Amino acid sequence: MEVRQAADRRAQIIRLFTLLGGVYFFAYFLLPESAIEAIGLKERQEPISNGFIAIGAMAIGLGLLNLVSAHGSRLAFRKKGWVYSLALLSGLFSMIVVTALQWRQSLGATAELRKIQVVSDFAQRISQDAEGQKPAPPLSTRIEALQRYASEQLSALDVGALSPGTSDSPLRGELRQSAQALREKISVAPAESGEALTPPTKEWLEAVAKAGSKLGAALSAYQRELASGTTVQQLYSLLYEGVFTQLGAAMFALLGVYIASAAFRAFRIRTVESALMMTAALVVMLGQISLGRMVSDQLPELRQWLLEVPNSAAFRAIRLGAAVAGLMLAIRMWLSIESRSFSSRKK
Amino acid sequence: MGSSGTWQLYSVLVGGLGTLAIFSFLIKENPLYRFFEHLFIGIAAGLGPMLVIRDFLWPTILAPMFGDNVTAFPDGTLSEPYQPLYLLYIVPMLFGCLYYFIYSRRNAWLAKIVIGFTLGASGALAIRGFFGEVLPQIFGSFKPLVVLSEAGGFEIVESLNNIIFVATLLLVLNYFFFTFGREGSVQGKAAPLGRPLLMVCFGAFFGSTVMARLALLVERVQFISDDWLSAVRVLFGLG
Repeated sequence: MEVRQAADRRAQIIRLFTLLGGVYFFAYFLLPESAIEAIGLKERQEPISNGFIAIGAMAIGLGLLNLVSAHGSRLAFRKKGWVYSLALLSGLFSMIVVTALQWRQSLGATAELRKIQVVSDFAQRISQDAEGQKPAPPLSTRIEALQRYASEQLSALDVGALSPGTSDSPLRGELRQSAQALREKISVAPAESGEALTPPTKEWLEAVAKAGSKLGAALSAYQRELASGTTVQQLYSLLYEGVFTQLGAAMFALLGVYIASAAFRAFRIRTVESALMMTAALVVMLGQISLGRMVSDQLPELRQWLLEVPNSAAFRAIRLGAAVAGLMLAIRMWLSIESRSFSSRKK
Repeated sequence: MGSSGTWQLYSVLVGGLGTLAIFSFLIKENPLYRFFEHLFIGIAAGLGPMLVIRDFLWPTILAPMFGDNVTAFPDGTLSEPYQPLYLLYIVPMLFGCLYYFIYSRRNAWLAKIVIGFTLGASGALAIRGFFGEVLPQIFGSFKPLVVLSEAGGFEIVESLNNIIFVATLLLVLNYFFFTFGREGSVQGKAAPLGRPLLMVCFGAFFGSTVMARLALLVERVQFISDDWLSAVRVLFGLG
């Protein structure tokens, strides 16, 4: 009796959470725009939606765990087909490791790039703060800090990307030029006597921001060039472009052969309807290739008409029917009518 | 040839071998096909979670939560103030962790809470999607049956097309309408007319699908005959 009561309580909790899961999106849809803005939902819509996606994203490990446990046990106990499990697990772990390493590499490059971009962003911020008279440290102090920081970053760039040992390339030449341009700009800061932003200082800050931004773009292009030659990137390309993309395309192409072969075996023109179907398929196929134009010049136009008028209308009718059924299913699912067995106790 | 070029050649070599192995299924299911099939599944399964972490969890959830999107300027000021509200993302993340209770025999019902929550959200999104996307399509489907040009003339071709469109739509919808008994009614008599129209639609679909797949097949054959054979010749010095 007690066990049954606990199971019922659990089922009620599950149903309650199922209802709560839909309340936000349904309310957002029902409420008028003014009400959404008044209660501050509009500006919070993105973080709330991200929260919902985060819930689903946490399930990423489920598939991995299942695959590893199913194929890991087959491999460990040398069951039939263990070589295939080895292939699957090798592909799985090598992709995870290589993608993680590539990501780590790109995070490092982004951090380096950010240091240069700060020069541009900080110059713009100084100008904006001074114009808007926002509370900020004294202007002269900020300009000195900007000069000092930019010099430090340029020195670090000289030691790193622009060191004599690094191989030369057009992008590296552009990077050197951009670095020189920024160096020239920051070396001659306007004499700022007061705390108000004078036109020469504003111009100087704009020039520094522009030079910093250009250097950032040059560094980004140079980093991309460098990264494309690293072993990690090559391994990623091998796995992604060499295996994943190629095998995916091959699988889909294989289905093409099977569709054609199944059609050849299954389609028999016995009725008017099947003849109609075959004619429509032939018109669409022939109208797409140059052979079709040899049969008739009107075939491509006929194909276009067939797709745009009767096919589009019939497909829309199918979609509308499916959408109404989908709506009913969604309502039943949200209100736990459809999934009563899901929330109730199994035994 | 640079090391980058060699990697590229090996990449093409492996891709071509994999393509041939997949196509070998046309003859018979064989170990080579199964090997590459499993390799493909493994790579896809490894890539998926990494993309979720790299492209969503880190930039959208974790980086703002750790304040990684805030830059400290050289004078100590910040590019934007840190938003402690981002810490609230911990709640959905912890809630999402309930999925893993599915492995617990005793507490598997906790996983059902989060699955139910996700189902509820999907249901509400589908309701919103119906009214937001499908209703405009319904309204847009009923095109004017008589189309007049700007000068006031009768556009016979466009009018005929619209009549065929609306008639097809109504007849196909009617074909799928089983709610009331339709024997003897006009609706019942009109129902068989929907079938041939549906067949035309299915035929057009079939043709489009075959052509799309065949385009892929042609691309694969070109890849094997051009890129892959060239790579084999270069790598194995076959002239």
